[in-house]
Amino acid sequence: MQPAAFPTEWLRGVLSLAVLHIVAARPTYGYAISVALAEHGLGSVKGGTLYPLLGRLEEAGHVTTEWRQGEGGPGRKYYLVTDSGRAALAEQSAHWGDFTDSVTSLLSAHQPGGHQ
Amino acid sequence: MNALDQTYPHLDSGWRDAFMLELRARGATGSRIGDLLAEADAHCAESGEDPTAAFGEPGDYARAIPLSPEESERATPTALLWAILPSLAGLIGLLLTGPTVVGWRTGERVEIPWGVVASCLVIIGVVAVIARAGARLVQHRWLAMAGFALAGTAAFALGSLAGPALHVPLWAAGAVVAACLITSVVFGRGDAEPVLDPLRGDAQPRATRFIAAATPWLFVVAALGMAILTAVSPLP
Repeated sequence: MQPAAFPTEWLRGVLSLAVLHIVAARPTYGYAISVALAEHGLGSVKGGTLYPLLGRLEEAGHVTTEWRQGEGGPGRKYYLVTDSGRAALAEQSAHWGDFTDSVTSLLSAHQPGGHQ
Repeated sequence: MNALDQTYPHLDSGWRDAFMLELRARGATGSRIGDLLAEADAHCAESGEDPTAAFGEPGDYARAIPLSPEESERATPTALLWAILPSLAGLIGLLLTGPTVVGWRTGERVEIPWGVVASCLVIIGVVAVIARAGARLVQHRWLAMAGFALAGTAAFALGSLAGPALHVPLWAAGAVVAACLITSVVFGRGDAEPVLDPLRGDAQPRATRFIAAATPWLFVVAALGMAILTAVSPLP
């Protein structure tokens, strides 16, 4: 059974980190990033959300871009991670890990309706 | 079918034009616009979505794009005012050309009719509105167009007001006309720079580029025509 989609406000907080991770794995382009996000269960992220986010990563110096001619089809704009992007990814990944640990520990420690 | 339709075949032309208009209003460069169009076109080609399904309303999407500080700077009211001033100067030079040529023919002081003064005031008012409202005009473009049409009608109606408003020496009127027209050519750029596709270069239709190159000369050509017409027609 297909799990229910995650609330958009959860995605909003973590989408930038997820996209940076995908770009850091290998240079890639917008549509492929949206497919990768969907394959990892993050649902279909619209271009209207994804490209402005990529633009902000570029403004921040975390990624650079490069146009490559597609085979037969239209050209593709590839996003490549920079050193500062790798550093940001490492830092944010660790931070995200701490966050999920905290949430998980909270959810397992506090039983609904009870006190510690 | 224009050149942009061929370069970006997966973008609906209405969506594309509204997107470009909003980006221009925000100060985006021609190469930024070409880059965003090419990326949107590639996305639609691969996902099979139409641009509204993929990106939402063109204005909302254009406003979500982060621009560089240099680009945003070009859309401030002051920058807009400087961009419009050459056209304003050209228009005023054009309006003063007729009376100046009449003055030259009669050898008397140049008589500026009330109509010309009123038209100049309406034009200055329109420029002030553009400078203050700036990019908001694009968001309310039907309202803006109606306003400009009304102002144009008012300028036309007031323009026929006869009766001398002021008399100035021929040399002064000639100097003002020359200064206005020179300003319009020297500082007038045509339209904003053309859309540059990242892989194919210039993506604008040839006619658009020609119009952009010819625009700064518009007022000089019109003033020349006006001068010739006034020189050969019977004196009032």
